Amino acid sequence: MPNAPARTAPSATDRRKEFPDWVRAHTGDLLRYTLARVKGTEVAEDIVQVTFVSAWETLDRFAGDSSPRTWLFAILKHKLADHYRKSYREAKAVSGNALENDALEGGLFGVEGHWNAGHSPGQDANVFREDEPDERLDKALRLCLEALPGNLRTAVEMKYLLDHDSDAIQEALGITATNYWQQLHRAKLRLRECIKERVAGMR
Amino acid sequence: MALTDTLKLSCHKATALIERRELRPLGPAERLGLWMHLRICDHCRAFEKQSRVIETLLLRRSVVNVDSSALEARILTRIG
Repeated sequence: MPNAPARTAPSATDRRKEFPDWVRAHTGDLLRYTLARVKGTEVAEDIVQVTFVSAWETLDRFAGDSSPRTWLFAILKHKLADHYRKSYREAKAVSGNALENDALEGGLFGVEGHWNAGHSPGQDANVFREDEPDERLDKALRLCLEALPGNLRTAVEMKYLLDHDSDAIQEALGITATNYWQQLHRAKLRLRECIKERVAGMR
Repeated sequence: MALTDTLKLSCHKATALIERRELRPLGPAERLGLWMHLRICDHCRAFEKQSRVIETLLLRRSVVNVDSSALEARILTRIG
């Protein structure tokens, strides 16, 4: 019986030939993902381009045990995290540490730390429906993320880009755990409040 | 957390714990305090649910109708 030709993994040279197909197949998805996560088309396009260039330059290290798409998304998430780390540190250098105090929280909670009337979540159950996909919610979220102060937006995005790894996020941003949790808390309170108002305005 | 603090958890603190729980498990006293608070506070229970909806929305974010052909061409030139 003749020997079947041994199945060899595609070489890096083969992958270089395939690479343009990867670009054509995945640029759209990478761009859509990025546009939903950063402010500005130009910024998003730059990040996607840097992702592909980086993939091209490190193609020898692509083991082929994941799909090209998964690999490209992993690189993209790194680049997005880089983007947020850089902008966070630059903003901090300019403004000092302007993270203290938040006027909004004073309005949401009273002296005892209980919900103030008019801001209590109990009356908004109809806005945040879990059962059906709601385009208004998606749209409101996008607008509300853009309205967040930069440091709070970074806090939220980093949670997903670094897969909820608290230590890695604190290290990347150069802040303490307490400080980071506080920012996430503020961001969530603001997002909830903002989404509720936006959705009410869309009716 | 002291026992008295556990018993009189404010909504401000409760919502902070709900958020922190996403990243790191709470300590036993914090867990108990939050559980007790949520039993008696409709608003924070609603907040907990709404927070979860926001997390789901954040995960599945994407945008539609994007023309990526110009970017594709630029990238292909870059690596060509």
